[in-house]
Amino acid sequence: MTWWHRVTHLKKMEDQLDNELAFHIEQLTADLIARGHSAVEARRLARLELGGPEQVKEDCRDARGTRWLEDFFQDVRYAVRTLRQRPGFAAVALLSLALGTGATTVMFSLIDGVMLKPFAYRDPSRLLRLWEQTDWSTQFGSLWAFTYPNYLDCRQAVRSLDMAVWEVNRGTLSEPGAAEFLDGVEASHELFPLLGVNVELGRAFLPEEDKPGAAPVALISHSVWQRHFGGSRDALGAKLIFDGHPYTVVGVLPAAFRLEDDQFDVFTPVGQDTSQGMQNRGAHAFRVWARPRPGASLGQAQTELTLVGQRLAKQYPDTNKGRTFVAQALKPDVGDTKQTLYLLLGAVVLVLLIACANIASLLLARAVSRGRELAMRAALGAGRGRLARQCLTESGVLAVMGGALGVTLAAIGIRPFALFWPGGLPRAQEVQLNWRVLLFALAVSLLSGLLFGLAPALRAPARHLEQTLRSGARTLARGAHRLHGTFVASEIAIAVVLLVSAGLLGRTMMRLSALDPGVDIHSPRAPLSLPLPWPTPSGRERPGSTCSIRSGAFPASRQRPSSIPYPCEMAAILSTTPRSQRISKRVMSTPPCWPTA
Amino acid sequence: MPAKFDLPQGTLDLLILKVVALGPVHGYAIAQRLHQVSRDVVQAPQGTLYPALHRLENRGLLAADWKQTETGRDAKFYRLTRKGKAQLETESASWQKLTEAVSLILALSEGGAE
Repeated sequence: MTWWHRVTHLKKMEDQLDNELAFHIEQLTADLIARGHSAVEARRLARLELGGPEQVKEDCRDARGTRWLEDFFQDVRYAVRTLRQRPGFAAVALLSLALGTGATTVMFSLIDGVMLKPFAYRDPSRLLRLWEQTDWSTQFGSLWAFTYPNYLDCRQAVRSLDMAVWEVNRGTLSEPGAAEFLDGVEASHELFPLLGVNVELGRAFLPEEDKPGAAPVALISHSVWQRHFGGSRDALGAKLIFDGHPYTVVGVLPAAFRLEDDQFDVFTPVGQDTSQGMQNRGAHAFRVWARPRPGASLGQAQTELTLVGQRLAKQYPDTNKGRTFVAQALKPDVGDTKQTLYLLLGAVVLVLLIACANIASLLLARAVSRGRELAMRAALGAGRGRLARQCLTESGVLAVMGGALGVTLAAIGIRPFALFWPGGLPRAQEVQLNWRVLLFALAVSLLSGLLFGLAPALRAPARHLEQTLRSGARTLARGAHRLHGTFVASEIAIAVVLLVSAGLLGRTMMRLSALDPGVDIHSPRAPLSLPLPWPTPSGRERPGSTCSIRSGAFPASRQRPSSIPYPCEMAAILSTTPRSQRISKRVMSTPPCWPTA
Repeated sequence: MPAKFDLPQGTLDLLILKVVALGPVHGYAIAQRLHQVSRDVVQAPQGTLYPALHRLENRGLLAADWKQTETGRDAKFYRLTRKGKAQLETESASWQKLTEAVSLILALSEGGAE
């Protein structure tokens, strides 16, 4: 019989125990009568022989080994009953707990989704991102993206790493279908095997296609496949014109494929790019990802990278002086959101602590009024540990119920919260309630239950029983007074800290939103930006791809794109939208203003 | 009437295992058997018998089924599991060893040091 069976068949077990003992007494009585005792006398003797029936039963229950669980269920039932007797107390406690755990859960799921959730690649924990590191710092720090020649040297010299390189390459997909400005990527043929990503259709790049002069091939995203090729298998081998160049489609990537959480639509082999930037040791535009080869360690790889860095610094002092290469774990780049998230997590933990202190003092007040009951239990033989366990079970029940409410609140609130994050939350699509978040919520609830249940549990009576029983619940012991005072003091202290930090945070936010961006963004004449498919002259140097438009009358012009839906007064063309975080590979030196009113 | 001894700690379990090893038997019969075999020398308070039975059952040394007695009454019959059998063997062996050692020492003290 397993313990699970014993617990689920508690009633039956009790009945059987009763039967067994009754059988014993019956048999013994019968035997005694046979030996000449009177019926009454025999029954009395039989009972005497066995001992107090309740005592024997208790011993048997103890011997079952599931006693703690039975006690636990009993305590839970009792806790729920006492909570229902005091609906006011229960409502206040549950509500404050729900708010506390709910807010904490929301913050944790944000942190989980934004920072902790790994990329959806094969064995993501072993993936590395390589950086160029300078021994001086700019305002952006000392880590730089790679240049292509440096990458080639590293790949050749470092034996312990498998490497791949890619860079963003935005452009216009002009055929087939309606022209569209898209985010593309130039990637080396190693990228997809390195990440363990399989194409949905067709094949990935071949090594021989990753060279200058090779047949131009492209991979497309699932959504481009649907929009431009109707999801047909004929897409394989079809022509595609991207950025003025014809390519043959050889494969379709799965719909869920992302690079650093961004979706890219057209992939071309980086080795075929013969533009000047590819030979330039000053063009830091390339992201290098790597994975240690089987048996190789990170330390080994780092040593090799440092050696290459030193050699190149001597060989190309103009560009590589003071420059070396470092490997870091490949992690989502969330910018300074990290600090904000941790700050907010700290704030909501403080809120939770206030809730705990609140409930603790409520429970303490109740424990004082229940002093008589507890003293009675102690007098009837309940041990101090047993009483403390009962108190903790009660607070645990309260905590878990509050936690469940909190998770419900979090489930409702998390979407809007992530969406209304000022400035847009990176990786917002990854934020969701999952088992990790639920586990966290459970742990937080139990921990807070322990926290606010500890004080009343420790006060479980052990001494002066008689006094307590006689005096009733009228007087508050001096110790409880002091504890109460401590709770109030700490609550006020935490609240002040919270208030001050919330005030500071609010001020920062207000200042940020009042910051002058240098452009009047509030007037009806505010500039708009819109990504445009741009007619590219053949060749790599296109005039630009993003159009900033100022509203107003848009004059007829010789090159006016037909798709601008707004009346424009003035338009400027640039490859990077001002104040946007994404930087395109080729930045125009001076955005040409076009056309002017 | 000879003085009754309390059972040394742990021996009740051994005795129960031994009695049950003779065949499926209910609690009352175990009490009777212990009573008869020990000829009233060993006092096993019946109040401790049932907790011991439940403990042994919980440890998997005994298994129990509800069956009818000859008089047609439902009773809980205990029987030895394989684990219980092994336990009985090791425990009786070590009991044997212990008593031999104790009597050896007693004999030695009577004979005096040589």
